[in-house]
Amino acid sequence: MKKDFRLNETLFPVISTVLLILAGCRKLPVIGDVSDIDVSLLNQNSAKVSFFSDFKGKIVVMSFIYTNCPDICPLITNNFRRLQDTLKLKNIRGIKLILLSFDPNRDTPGALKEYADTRELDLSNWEFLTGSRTDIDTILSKMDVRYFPGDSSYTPEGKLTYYITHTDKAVLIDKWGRIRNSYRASTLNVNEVIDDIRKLE
Amino acid sequence: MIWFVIALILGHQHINRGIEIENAFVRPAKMGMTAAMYFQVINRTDKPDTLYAAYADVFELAQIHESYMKNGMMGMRRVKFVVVPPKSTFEFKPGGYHIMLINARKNLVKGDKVNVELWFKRAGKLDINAKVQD
Repeated sequence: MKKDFRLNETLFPVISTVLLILAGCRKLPVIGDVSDIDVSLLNQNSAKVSFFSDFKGKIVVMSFIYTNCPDICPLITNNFRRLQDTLKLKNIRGIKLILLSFDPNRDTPGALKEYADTRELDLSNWEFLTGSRTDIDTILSKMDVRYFPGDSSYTPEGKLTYYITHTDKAVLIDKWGRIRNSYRASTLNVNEVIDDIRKLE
Repeated sequence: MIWFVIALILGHQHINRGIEIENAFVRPAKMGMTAAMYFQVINRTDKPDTLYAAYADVFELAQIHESYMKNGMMGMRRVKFVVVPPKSTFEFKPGGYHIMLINARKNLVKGDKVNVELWFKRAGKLDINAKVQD
């Protein structure tokens, strides 16, 4: 009896550990597919970007902002910067970061460039994208990202200001254009994303 | 001289009749764009006070706003005032309440300063010097 007890005492933590490791190593399910999207966008340098074909072969982390969003979108941007910094620290290379604008009327390539420059962002593996409303909507629809106009008003000087209510989301896309996980972008858990990236490598 | 020493001691704190403002900062912004300002209001008095207006020298307009989440969507809305209960701290923080600064008169980058007036019903006007940081 004493021997059996010792066996259980030894086996229990071993089995638990194995189960935990297996759970951690489980493959990420495919929850969407953007590989068949074929739209033309512009990046912050006004260079043409074909979505999704230009990103085939790369793991992509993508989210959605507009540059006149003063509160949530800077949080998302900062989370992407933290993700980029952590990827560098862990020497994980070849990951593409994308922020797509909800607001092509105001977010011209120049506006996106200024937004990035003001924040001194490293754009070596990071692109800000904009395009026609139709093309942006095609992408957002496939990623189950929604938006609609929020409060708008004119300032005393007659400048129109408006805000956009939008889904708070980031997605992880594998090398074949399949969405493998999604996260709340404004409170992004960088380590969770990196753990997921490792499962795709 | 005495005031200079007091100012040095207080550092980043802005105090007026029991209301203190700490850790005020403004997000970077290009000219013509909007930014948000965040800070903590500490009410050391035994009465509530109400923040009801704000003005910033390098923005056309300043309003009290809050961000909210509903059905997985993030939005912002204007609020007319914020009541800070007695003996408490109220936080204006990213993803929550903030001062919306509209139509920047110039480019604001890290390290710049923005002069902001916060108006309270009891404490009156507090002059804040908020740093620009990301």
